[in-house]
Amino acid sequence: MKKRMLEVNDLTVRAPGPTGGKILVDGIDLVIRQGGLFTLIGETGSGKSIVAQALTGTLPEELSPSGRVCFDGVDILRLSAHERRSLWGRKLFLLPQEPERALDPTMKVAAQVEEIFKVLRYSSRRKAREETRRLFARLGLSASNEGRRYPCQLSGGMNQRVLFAMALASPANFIVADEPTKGLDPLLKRRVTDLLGELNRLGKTVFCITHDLLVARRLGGNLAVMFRTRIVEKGPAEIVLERPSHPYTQGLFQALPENGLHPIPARMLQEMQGV
Amino acid sequence: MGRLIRVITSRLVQGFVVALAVASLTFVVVNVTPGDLALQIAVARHDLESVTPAMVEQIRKEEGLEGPVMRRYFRWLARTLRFDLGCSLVNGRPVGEELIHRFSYTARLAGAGLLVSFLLAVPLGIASGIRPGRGVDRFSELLSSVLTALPSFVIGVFFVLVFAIKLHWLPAAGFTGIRHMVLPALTLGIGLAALSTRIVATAVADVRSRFYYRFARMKGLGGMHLILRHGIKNAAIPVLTLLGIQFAHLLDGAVVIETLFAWPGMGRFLLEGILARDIPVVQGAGLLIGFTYVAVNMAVDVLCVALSPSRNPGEAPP
Repeated sequence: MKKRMLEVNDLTVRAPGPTGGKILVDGIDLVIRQGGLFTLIGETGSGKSIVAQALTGTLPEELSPSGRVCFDGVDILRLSAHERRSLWGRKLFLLPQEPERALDPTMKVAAQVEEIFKVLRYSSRRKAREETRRLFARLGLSASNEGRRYPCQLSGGMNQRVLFAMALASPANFIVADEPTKGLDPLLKRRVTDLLGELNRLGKTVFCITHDLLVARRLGGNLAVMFRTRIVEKGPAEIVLERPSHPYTQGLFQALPENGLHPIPARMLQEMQGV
Repeated sequence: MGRLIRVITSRLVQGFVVALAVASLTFVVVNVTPGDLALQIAVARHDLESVTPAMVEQIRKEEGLEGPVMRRYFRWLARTLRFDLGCSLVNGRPVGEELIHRFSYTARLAGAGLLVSFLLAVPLGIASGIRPGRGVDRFSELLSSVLTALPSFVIGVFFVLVFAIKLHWLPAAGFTGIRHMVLPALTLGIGLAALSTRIVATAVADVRSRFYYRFARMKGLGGMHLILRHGIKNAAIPVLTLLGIQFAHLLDGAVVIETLFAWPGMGRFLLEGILARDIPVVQGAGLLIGFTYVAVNMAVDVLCVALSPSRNPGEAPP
């Protein structure tokens, strides 16, 4: 059994307010092992993004988390803001949703990857350039062509791949991808999902948050289904997706286009809320 | 590269149009003001008592002030296009030579003023932009509004009173040494810094709020690398654009400040020309100011394109 990279025990996040505040995330338990691939799936407002923020230390200040989020043996909820920031790029890498907004508009994309090697891996200029060229080639980009362009001169898909090159360049082994396929067309969605799998094969531990069952199915690995602040079902992706046991997960499947696009009945949702 | 050439050519064409407009306007303004020009020149050269009608007619003939306005305009325009700015009506010296001499003084003052404003605005603006709404930001905002509201001659007179008359540290007027430049440069620089500090602060705060800046931080970058590579460069674009606009203020300010400190620059030359109704001087100075303005804006545009080839000059960052 591989070592535990991330262990979440009883993570609860409350919004500020009277009588303790509204519960946004309720008693989450998760274990992700080194080199693993984990998908957290849930609808908008289920609290999955709050979980990602708690994991990466980007939770808004007014939210008060409780429980434990042990990352590499350190409980990051007990760290100061400064200590949490020191993990960024070194221990964990947050793969953002929109590459156009994440890339510096006035810097050539290859240089934005090279600087990770230089600053975080202390590589020489030459080595940084060489490593970047290698990563670009692996992701189907050319360092001498696309690399010399600015983000606005590249397509969304290419910029997306530049972000993946950054994730690979980073010394961080734990990659958190928050809705990496949001707003993408089906073809691009499949490519991005495959790139996430590629990151995992290259040795990174990947934690992916999505609302898309198809992404979860294509990724594989372990899966947790989040519904109304709680995790309602978890296990290896193929088992959960093959034989969903929770009514919400079953409902999600019925709602897939190939299964007839049946909406989840409101009555069922109301019943489940009482659970 | 093609974009750079396009920017330069469009600016050159623009420069020509501006020069033509400036020149024509000064010609029109000088010609529609009431009073007999030839008589005024005669008075300026001799004195009121000794001027005779014969002298006035002679001057009218010599200086080409006779005939219909349009013919005079085209004759003058043709000369100007050959870079012949004519001679001063008052002292008969060639305007071109005098302009170059005077311009070198204004350039020195403008350069020193810009340096002062940079030394004040960049550190103060960055410090304000990094922590918006905090102490430094509040302080610089208050200082900026007060200084923007004060006309530069008030600041200048204040400096003269304190540093020249009271403390005797620096000379109040003149142009023989670098010590003479301190007070006019400070007056000009502080006036410029009042506005540019806020622009730098806004630009820095804006870049910091952008997702690419936060993401650069999440990539693990920090400290000076983050500020220099991802902060300053992006913030520099609006600041540089402003610098071009401020240049107009710089030239306006030069008239006031040069007069106040008896600095022999272009501004004073223009003012003297206007007061003496010395048309070639006014037209020449107007042309040079117009040209300088266009040249500075072209330089700014080229710099902006070089910093970010992805955008059109002047366009705000997305």
